[in-house]
Amino acid sequence: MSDGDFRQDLIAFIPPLRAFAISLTGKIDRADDLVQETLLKAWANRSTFEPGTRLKAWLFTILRNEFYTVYRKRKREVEDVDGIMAANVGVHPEQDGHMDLSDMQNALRRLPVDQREALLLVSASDLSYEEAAVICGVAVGTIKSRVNRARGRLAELLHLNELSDVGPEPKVRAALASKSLET
Amino acid sequence: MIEKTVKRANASAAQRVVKEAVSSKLKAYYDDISRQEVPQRFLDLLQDLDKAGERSE
Repeated sequence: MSDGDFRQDLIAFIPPLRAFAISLTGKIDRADDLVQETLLKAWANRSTFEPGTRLKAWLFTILRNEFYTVYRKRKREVEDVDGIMAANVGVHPEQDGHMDLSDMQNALRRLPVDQREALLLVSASDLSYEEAAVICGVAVGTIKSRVNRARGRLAELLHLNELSDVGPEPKVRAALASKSLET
Repeated sequence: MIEKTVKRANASAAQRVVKEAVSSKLKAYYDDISRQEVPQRFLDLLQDLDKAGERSE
């Protein structure tokens, strides 16, 4: 692959990389730093990319590794933030039925980071369970269970569980509620 | 017996509704970010890298 072609391919993947980074970090400036670092590393290592494998999965791996490098350095700070978030989980936010970007952003931030990344890779970035498993360095089954737990938690945080009110009767709701307590 | 089966079916249908609602909200959020314009700094960066490569060849 020529450098020019490689560059065009990288440009095409900037939007999905940014979306992943913004959703993962919750901050546009941190996300853009991650994307920049990813582009630099991808360019520097372009000779090691094996054509025929998926460039997308390769780029997401670089970005994810970069995220954890930074994340570990900032771990203390992040844990503090998560602690504050966790303390607020029980508070029912004011609801007017309106859903905007920040609702989703806030909900994502409250997910444990391993669940958040699994959900974003599989449900939002359209990578396969197998690719997500390779990217995260865990078994496919682990990714599946993280995605399931993340979906359940997001449903609670966004009050989407209430959707089931329109259908089944209260007994089912009770069953759903006890189900979500288990996880 | 039948009642149990019906309950189970209702519960799994409800779970499916919730799961689909989560997925579609997440998708909508994600697509919104993805549609943002690519920041010029990234295009400039890649152009510089590409040019630097040409010069060194």
